[in-house]
Amino acid sequence: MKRKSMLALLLLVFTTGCIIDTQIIDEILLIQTIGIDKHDEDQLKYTVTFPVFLEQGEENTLSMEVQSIVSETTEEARNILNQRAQQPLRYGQVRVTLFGKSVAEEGLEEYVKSIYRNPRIGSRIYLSVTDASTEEVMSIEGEKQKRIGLYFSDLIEQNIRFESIPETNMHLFLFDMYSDGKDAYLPLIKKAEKIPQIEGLALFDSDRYVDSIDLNETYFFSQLRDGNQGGTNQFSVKHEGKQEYVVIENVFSDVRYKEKTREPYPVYDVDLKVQAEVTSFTGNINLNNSKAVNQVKKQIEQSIKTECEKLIQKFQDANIDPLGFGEKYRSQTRDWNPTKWKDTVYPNIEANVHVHLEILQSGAIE
Amino acid sequence: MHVKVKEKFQVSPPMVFFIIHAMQVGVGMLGFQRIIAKSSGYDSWIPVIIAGVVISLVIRMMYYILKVNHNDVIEVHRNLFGKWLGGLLSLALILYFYMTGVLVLRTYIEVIQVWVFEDLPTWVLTVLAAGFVYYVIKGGFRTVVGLCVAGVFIPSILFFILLMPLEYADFLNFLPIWKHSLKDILAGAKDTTLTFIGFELLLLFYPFIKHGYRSHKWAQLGHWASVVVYTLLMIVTLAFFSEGQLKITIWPTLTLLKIIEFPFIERFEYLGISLWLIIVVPNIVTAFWGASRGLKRLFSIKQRYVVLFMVLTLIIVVPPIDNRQAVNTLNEWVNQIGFWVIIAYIPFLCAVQFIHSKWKRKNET
Repeated sequence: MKRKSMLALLLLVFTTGCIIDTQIIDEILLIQTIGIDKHDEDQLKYTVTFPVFLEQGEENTLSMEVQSIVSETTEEARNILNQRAQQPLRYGQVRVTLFGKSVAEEGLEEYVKSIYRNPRIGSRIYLSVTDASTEEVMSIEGEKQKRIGLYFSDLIEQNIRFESIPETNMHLFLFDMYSDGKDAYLPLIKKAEKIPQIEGLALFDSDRYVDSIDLNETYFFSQLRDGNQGGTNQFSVKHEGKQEYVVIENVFSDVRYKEKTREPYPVYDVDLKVQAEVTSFTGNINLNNSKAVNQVKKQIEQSIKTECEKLIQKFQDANIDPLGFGEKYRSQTRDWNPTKWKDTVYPNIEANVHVHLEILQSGAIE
Repeated sequence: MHVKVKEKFQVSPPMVFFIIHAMQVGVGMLGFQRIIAKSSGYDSWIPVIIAGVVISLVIRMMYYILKVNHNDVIEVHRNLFGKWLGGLLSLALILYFYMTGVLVLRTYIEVIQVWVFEDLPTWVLTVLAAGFVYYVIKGGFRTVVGLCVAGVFIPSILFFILLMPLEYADFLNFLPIWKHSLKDILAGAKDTTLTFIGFELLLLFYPFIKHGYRSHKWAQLGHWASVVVYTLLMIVTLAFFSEGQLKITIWPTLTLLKIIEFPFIERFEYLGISLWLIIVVPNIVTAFWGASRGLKRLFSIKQRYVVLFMVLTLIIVVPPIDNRQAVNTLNEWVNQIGFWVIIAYIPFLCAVQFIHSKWKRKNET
């Protein structure tokens, strides 16, 4: 009796395998990149790329397929795509979603929400804005086309690791977008000379793309945002009456915000500590001479300061707050009013950047 | 009638730690943060602690009632309210325990349907769970407790893994502390009590504990372990999400797991959901054990038949609850009832018991 009931229970467990649809990796198509563009007034163009493995053939050949669909909503586009596909399309391996400029300018919330809603798609996927239409950016000629699926995610990942852009993914974008006192940013991709590359950052006001900064400004932005562990930049300095260039690589940097006064408008002291090494310079600056080093250091500090303050001013003029001054203000006040902050306080705050640069070393030669 | 539980069916007092903790940590842990944050925002960790203190007091009250009677709640009801009214109250309580079991099972099935198998019909998992529940309860109370112990130890690694999303933590979210009104905080505390529901089963399994009253400290310990786990998870969640983002996320704990990535496993939440079964099963089994035990005591029928009957009704009751709205409505109902059971009914019972004892003593002298 006991054995029989156990057997029945076991059988029950095994039969469940037949009820759920199996998804065999050879028999589904895994989408890797999604692009969303504006097509007409109220239509979207939805582009996806997925690899297709040929079952028969001499070698295991891999080909990449790009498909575009015009439709009103992204969900509808997915349906149409699935009807057309030779095998079911699945979203578990999406790495990047690209948004065309015109879509991003109108607001990304509904699209990002629909991705966030889908439990199949991870939180670490990259979102990015393209300068032209995504379809155009996604069509690359030659060898690279075969790897288009992972091309954009590799591009962004590599740049984050190299610290040319600050860390970004869908979770961080959602966090900033839904925060009252902070505005979001995404990497901006542009196609230059037929090759897509990172152009800088697209800055958002809530979910609308309003402004952008280039890679040079991004270098200062990442340091102001949370300090970083790398990144290289070139500065021009005057040495013995001549214009020279010094390239420094950040080893470590740290940033601290202090509110000095609040009334009538807040004034912030931004202390930026940078430890860097000189990787290259023009002319003959003797970097073993502490006086010369000091001179160079002073000038670099000054130019970092001006660049940072210019950047903050730029954000204030556009009335966006990607550095999160609002969050700093909110955490210090008991009557926080997001609209008042955005309309009257933020445009009038003042930020004084103080840079402390420390040159650690200058390489293996004198 | 006074039923004494044989010693070979009893468990030692420290086991109460596991039963209470296993009952409190359940499927509610996947999504409690959003519900509390709706009223208390970034201050939501405060209501968790407040609710912890309140429930600690309720556990104290339960031990007072049970100590005086040396028996379970069925006997207490009969002593205080007589055969008919007492029996009716017991029946209501049994129905409530049954419903919590149904709720936990259905909510977990919903999570599986949304996150893992979207085309899995509800009845499949219900039938599987029904078989399992019957099998475990047939093994007696000690088997149920054994499952609770496993349900505390095995998933405990998950709690360390849940600290990993601190990679993206922004602790500025917490400042300034206590910016919500007292009313909002208390509303949050009310919602928190729901996540702690489950410990009231003590009212039924008390006679199964050796030297019952000595288990009080273990019950408190189990409860405070839950409070610590919930508070820590709440703090991680509040640092990880911004307020607006948290408000649209139904299962914040799973979304937290989603960000974790190991070189050998890209999407950790699938592992988390599967492991959660080990947390959820003791919940369901203990609730059904309690309900069947109650019916057995009330009508003097064999517990095995009661369990069989319950398990069969499960297969009829659960599958018709088939969409998000229905699951949500059921959640709200049971939670509302649970809140009043904990906050109003148990203190009421305690007060009646207190007056009754006083009155009895007076009559005797």
